[in-house]
Amino acid sequence: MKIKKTASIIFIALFLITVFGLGAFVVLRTPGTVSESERRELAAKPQMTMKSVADGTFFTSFEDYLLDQFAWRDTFRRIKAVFQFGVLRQKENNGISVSHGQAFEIKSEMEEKPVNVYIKRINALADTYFSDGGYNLYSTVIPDKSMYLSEGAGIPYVDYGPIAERIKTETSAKFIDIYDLLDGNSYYATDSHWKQTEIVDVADRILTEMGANKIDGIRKNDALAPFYGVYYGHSALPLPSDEIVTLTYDTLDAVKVLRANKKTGVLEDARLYYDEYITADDAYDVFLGGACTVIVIENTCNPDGKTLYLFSDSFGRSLAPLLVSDYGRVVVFDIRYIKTSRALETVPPEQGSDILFAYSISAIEVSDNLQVK
Amino acid sequence: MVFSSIGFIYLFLAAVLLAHYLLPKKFRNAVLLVFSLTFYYVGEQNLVVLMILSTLTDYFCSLGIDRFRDKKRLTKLFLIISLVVNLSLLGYFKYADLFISSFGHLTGIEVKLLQVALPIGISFYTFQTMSYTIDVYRGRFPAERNIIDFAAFVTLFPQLVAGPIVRYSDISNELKSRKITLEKFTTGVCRFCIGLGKKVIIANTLASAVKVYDTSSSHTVVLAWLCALSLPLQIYFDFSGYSDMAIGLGAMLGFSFPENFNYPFISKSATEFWRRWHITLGTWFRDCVYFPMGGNRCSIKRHIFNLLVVWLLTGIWHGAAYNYIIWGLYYGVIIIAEKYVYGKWLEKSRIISRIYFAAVTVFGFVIFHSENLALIPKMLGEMVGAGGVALMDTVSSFAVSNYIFTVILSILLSTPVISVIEKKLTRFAVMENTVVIFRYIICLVLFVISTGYLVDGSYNPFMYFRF
Repeated sequence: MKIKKTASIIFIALFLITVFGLGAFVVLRTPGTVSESERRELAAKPQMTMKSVADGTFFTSFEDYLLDQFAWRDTFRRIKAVFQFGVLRQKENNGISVSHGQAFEIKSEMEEKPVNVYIKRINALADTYFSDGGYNLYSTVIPDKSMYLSEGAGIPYVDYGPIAERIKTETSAKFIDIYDLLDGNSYYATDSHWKQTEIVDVADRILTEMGANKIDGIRKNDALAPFYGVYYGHSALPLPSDEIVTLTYDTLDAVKVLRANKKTGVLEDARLYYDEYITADDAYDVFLGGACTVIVIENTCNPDGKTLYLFSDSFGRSLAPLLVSDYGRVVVFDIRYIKTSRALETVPPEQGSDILFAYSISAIEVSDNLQVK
Repeated sequence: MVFSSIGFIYLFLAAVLLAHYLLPKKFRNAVLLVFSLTFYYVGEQNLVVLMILSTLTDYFCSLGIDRFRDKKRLTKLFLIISLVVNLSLLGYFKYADLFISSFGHLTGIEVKLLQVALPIGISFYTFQTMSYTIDVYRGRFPAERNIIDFAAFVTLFPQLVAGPIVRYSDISNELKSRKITLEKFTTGVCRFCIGLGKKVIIANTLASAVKVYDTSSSHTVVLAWLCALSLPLQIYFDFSGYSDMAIGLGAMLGFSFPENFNYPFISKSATEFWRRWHITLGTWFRDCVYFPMGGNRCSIKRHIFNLLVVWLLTGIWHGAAYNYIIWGLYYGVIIIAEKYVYGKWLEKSRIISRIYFAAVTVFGFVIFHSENLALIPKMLGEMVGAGGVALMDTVSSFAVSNYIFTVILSILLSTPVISVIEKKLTRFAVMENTVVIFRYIICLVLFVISTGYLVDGSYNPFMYFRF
């Protein structure tokens, strides 16, 4: 009887300490502004006004605030994820699954509309800016890692083939298929991006298809760690960290890199790799310093060579350094953040240049963002 | 506000417990009233006025009945006022659009729908207050004179929005003086943790399984069955989870609420199922509709009529849509058939009765789920592969592998297996303390995991809020 009573008292005490302790914590703590694991802004404390209390919006916003600012939020999210995977034997948490240690987003279907838009935008780019002047147009589509990992795990996935086929047949650019050169391990285990070390064959095929020479003498730089990718936070699972390894070769040792200033648009000196960004919110910014409207990689070993204009997303930033060797320069445009006309004002196109459109499936899904005008 | 929210558990509940236990006993009902009104206001804002109107109506009507007990006509008038006000609130806010659209369908005349918002819990608190006035009218107990105590009873937040339907007689003594013991508080906390886990971990996961079917563009036999199996389990864990939390919260505050579920899925017939499912609603209809109509102490024809009326009303109570009416009548017809046609035959075989009950339940919840009536034959057809529906595809095989363990676990947890094991173990004196301690540990673990689910999730309302 005594043991039961003591157990009851301890149980009640632990329950009340948890309720009052965590309740007090969320009320008294200084609110955080950003969730590093989820890479998003956290909800701020809502303003209490007569109107917001009367229409109830205050209470909804306040619940969002509590959810975002709860004590040990990431730990609680992890507890849930581990329980969901480990006890309920579910295959996903927040739409993220894990197969052979690789986390990936489950994409069971892709609407036709964004593919239609993408094709229209690529054709509009070609017609508007590169129809005259002897430009050579190429395109490739970067598969999502789920396309490699889902099938073996019995998870529904978007079929790459029909999308690639449509882009191949409905755009005027020569299509370079790279699907067979990649697999699940070509991507970081905790992130959506591919590893630069695993795309040398991809770069070689693209170069060959564009009539350029393959690269040789590739060397690995020191590994940068730890790298926790976007799926690490979204899945909330205790996945082991990745490491980022960048590549170099003789030509790259001597390149000059320029990035457009975010405010002025003026090209400024930059670097190929920013090792210090391994601790940034998005460590993939190691490659060419992160998202930028215009980046120019000048090949000082071949200043008179042709120019390659690469229209791409974040995947392109790790690919671009591997395309430099045979070109005079590689210009990377990210027209999700700048109108194409303005980008081409910064670096006007040279006749007879090569143009490569290399977008990932994720970027094609939101192809509305590509600013053609 | 919902129980399964961070705001409720870590701020509201903490504040209620502090105020309830720190302030002098005489203020406890006033404290509950203030917090209950706040609880309702957070969710419904101005619609709190309706609840206050219902409360005041029944407070004054019951006082009138008590005061003029000798004058039958006058007491009847007060009863009628109470019924009219409550049923008008229910009729206008819940059923007006159903009547209008039905009128439109029948006559071909297009009438604009009112599209009024359904106040949360209106079906529960109107039934509660009506039954109070009916009981006073019947002389079961005198009218409550203290308006704070009465309002605290009506608005009592643990049972306000989704039951159990607590009758005044259930807690009238505890409203005046409630003894809170360590055992009762502990039981309350345990019950709350279990209910929270049922809702947040099991019901919400099953809801995701149902959602796969609802949102998928290609249905298969397997997916239809996954949905059909998940549906009753989801609703059970959602609703019984809420009831557990309500009963637990009540116990923490010194109340003993009636049980609302008793392992309904171990039933062998629809009749037994309804003795185990939403018990307080069944009791309410039995006492306030079925018995006054004559119950079963009448001719067979009249009995069948009485049953059909009760089940029609049960269906209507659940929602302002035709599928709920059909669902209610479906159970009415089956219960009549069990009573007068094959009930005794069913009792002869446990296996047949269980298969029969499973089929009746799955079919019943398909009706319950399909607010669009056309979806009922569609889903039933898909379950038997009619119209060339494929057996399985990648989406459905993934859905099965993703949710099958939860479905199996929830089937297991919907039976009394754990309480049977507990009882068997506690027969050994040496195990008694271990079982208790283990139960407490499980409750705390459930509480922490549920918090994880809440923090990682978003808004998750209870299904029965819309009833």
